[in-house]
Amino acid sequence: MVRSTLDVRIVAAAESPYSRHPPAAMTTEWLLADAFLRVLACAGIERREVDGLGLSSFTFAPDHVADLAFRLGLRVRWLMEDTNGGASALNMLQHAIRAVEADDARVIVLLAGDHFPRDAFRALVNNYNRATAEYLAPIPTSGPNAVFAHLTLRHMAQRGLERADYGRLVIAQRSWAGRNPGAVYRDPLTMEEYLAAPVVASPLHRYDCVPVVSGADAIVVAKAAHGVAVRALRSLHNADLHQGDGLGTGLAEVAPELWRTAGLGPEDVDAAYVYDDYPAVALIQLEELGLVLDGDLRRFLAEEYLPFNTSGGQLSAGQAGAAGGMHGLVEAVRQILTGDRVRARRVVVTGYGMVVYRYGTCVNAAVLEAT
Amino acid sequence: MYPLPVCVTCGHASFPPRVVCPYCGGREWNVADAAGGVLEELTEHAGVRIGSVRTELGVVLVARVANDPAVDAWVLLDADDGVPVARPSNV
Repeated sequence: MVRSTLDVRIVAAAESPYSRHPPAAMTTEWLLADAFLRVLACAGIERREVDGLGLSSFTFAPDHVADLAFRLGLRVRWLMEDTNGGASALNMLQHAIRAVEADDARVIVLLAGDHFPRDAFRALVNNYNRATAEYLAPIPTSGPNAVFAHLTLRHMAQRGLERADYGRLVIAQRSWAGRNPGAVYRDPLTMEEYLAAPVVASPLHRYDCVPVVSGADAIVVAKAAHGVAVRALRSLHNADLHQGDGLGTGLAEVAPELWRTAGLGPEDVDAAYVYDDYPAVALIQLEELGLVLDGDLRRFLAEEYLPFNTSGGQLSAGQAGAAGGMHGLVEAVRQILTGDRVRARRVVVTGYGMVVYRYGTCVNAAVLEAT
Repeated sequence: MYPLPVCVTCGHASFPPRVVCPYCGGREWNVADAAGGVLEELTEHAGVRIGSVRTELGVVLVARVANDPAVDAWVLLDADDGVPVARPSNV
């Protein structure tokens, strides 16, 4: 038996149940507190042991992470807030690992969550950044679906794909969602139902778009003898200076270094957790990480030789705002620790986000391993 | 015509506006009018037709699309209160 040493690990992960129709009294702080208390219970640690807190949330404003520490009754030595949406969880994880390594903090809880009462989602997408407020919202684009419809059209043309190819990804994730009581969409989806679903922004139909939910996610990073080790984590933001077509992200550039640092290759992972705001974006990341082993996307989708997004992903489980960036990480850690949906010792997780104008500009990826 | 920021130093157009030119690092900008471009993608969302237009100055604009231009066709550009609007070149 190999003797484990005390090392920085993710020791627990939890999610406050996602809901499309939360009670009227729901608040972002309640969801964040719920995820916080759930992850403490999961880790078997006391609130007073927590000395580091990280937060990503669009709807916690005007409060910030210091306010959250106050509201949770925490004395902390380390605070951080990350505003980078779908890339925020891995960004925070990158910093938290270094902080625990350096003994700046011993037990860090990272939280991500959002609550969208009536009209709050519209307000968020219309004021996402200045470019959106000044040049997209007045069109009106009414959110990101239109620019991702354009990206999907480019992807279809470049890769020779049809709607049914994206449907295979959505259907595969839906079949995992059937085993996740927390998913919004749980019923099996047929190709006929996928293709016939109401159009949102052609070629995107209903099941190509994430259901917006209220919810929150949490992980704990601490020194421990066992847990989930982060073998490598790499980020690259604004890789193409927003002068490209969005069909390539920074992942292609950092993937070789990611795998080399991890001491593993794409063929060694048992599951993948890729950011899935839209099916084309998920497929781009799977390819850039080298997970489509022979480069044949259609065969990858038809044979399902690698489990991915085993919670159902955001496309079936829902997107809780900034928690969308942590959802895959939480599912990955859960499956490594409990294996209730898939037996996984080694996985890869990605983040993607921050639509500057025409597509997302932030990406990151981490290789996790059971220890 | 749609006005686009163009770098004084290297002449590259950039959109949305930036502070520093990504090509040469310049930070002085002129304005050049793009008369039109190629409608590369077209979709409709919430009753609004929305296109990506590759302008003659190289940058791609997300535009409101008026009338019914064909994909890959040349479209004319205008600004409506700062927002790019594309219309067929024969209308």
